[in-house]
Amino acid sequence: MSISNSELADTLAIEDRDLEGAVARAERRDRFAVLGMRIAFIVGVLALWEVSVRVGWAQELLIGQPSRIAHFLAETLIGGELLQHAMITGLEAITGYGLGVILGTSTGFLMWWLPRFGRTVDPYFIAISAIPTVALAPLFLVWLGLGIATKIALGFKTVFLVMHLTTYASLRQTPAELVDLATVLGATRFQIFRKVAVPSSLPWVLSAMKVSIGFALTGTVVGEYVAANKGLGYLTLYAAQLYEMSLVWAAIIVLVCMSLVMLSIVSALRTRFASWNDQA
Amino acid sequence: MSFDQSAIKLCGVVVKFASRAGVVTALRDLSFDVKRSEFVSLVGPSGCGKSTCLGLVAGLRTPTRGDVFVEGRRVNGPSRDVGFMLQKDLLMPWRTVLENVIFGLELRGKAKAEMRDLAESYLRSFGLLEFANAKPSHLSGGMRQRISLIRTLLTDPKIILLDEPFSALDFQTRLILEDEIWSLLKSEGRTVVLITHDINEAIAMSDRILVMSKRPGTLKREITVELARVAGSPLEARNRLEFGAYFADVWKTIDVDLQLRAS
Repeated sequence: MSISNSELADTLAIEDRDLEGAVARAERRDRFAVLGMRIAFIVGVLALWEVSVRVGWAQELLIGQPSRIAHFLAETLIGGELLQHAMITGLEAITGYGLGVILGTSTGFLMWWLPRFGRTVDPYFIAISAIPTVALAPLFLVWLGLGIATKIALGFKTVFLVMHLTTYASLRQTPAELVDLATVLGATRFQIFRKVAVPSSLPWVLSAMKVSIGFALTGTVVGEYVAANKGLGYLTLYAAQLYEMSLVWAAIIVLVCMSLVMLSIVSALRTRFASWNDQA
Repeated sequence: MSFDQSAIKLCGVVVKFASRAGVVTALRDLSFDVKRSEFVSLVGPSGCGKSTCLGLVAGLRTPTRGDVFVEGRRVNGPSRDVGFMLQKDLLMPWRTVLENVIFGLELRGKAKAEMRDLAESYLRSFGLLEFANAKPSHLSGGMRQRISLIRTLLTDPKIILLDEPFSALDFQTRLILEDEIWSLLKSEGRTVVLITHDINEAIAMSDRILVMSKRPGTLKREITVELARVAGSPLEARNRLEFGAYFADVWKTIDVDLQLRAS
């Protein structure tokens, strides 16, 4: 035998590398195949839809038409009417969401910090959260008027309560043994709050922030249905009454995009601050 | 015995607490003391108040009646003299190994560099330095329990309370950790109180075993062992001829309770 050990090791290493390369390639091929099929599916659906309307199997009046939806969306990009409505809705939703998140987590923290106060007011928070937000719309309308404040309040109401209840509940879930441990190690109450309770509740708080995005948009759009002459909620209602279904679809797509942008921001926060817990 | 010799002293301790079923007596008239550098185990049936007892020494709980002294001072709240380690390692999953280990020092406002040096030297001695920046979830149960011990040791407590720290580990890891922890704590001259359900473990590690009665718990018997001290390590202690006799003795003491419960 003329082959040395080191040569043998080199050969084996090369073979290993080849094998790993092959496995990685197969994996990549599989991912591309799935992606390809997804694209083919949506293109197929849109093509069928477009053709159906063009040859007259289906009525544009009732279901809209992809090419016209694209036309409306393209207008948005160059600053059409749709964009102005989207800006209003975005402003209302983000304001309601932001206020809800900040105040909801704050009151959750406060109720943990003052346990007796927390236990006293907890049932009221639960009772208020049981009121369907839509049912409050007429009330907010009277109190806050026809303007932007009513829509913000409707988005805010659900976000605030979801954030509050989640924050308070997850702070109370802080493992008692962990609190004992910190106490024995000499932690002050504020240190327990900052170094134990808050980090352990963070994954749940961030998950609630994700869910709340949908609530903020829903509340805002409902507000725009009730009384408005601006915003995507108003626009969908108005367009549907005129049987301009392509415009309705375009507005919905813009709403989805807004929601996805907000989701990706919160997801990034979650990855940054709470990736240690994937269950929440 | 005078106070200056005992690390821990319980005098006529009674603990009662309110529950849904009414007032429960967890401990009745419990008295014992533990000398400096002594290794004492508490054994007894489940729910006999062993953990309550450690809670008193750690300053997490106050006795309804009676007194608890640590290092000659009456306990009122957590003290720097006492550290504890539980069955659950209680590592914080959002912190790295190093950040977990320095937690106690961080709470006391130690300088960053100082904490780091100290932590790294301990991690190195346990062969865990390479995991300093890993998250605990990537480590085995034995490693996690070692890290939990280092966290306790870094704050340099004179007394260490161990509440079933080995019971979640597999048998081999348990034997190895018993040896490691025993020799380390002995060489540093720390006072240790161990709670365990494992009679073998209590005999292998202790200088003295305190057998408690079932609830409401009180001291039933104390048995001086010192096998590990004589043999040099808990593992060696298990090979001693007397080991079996100690086991029978402790078992019999606990067994009386089992019969009482059956009747």
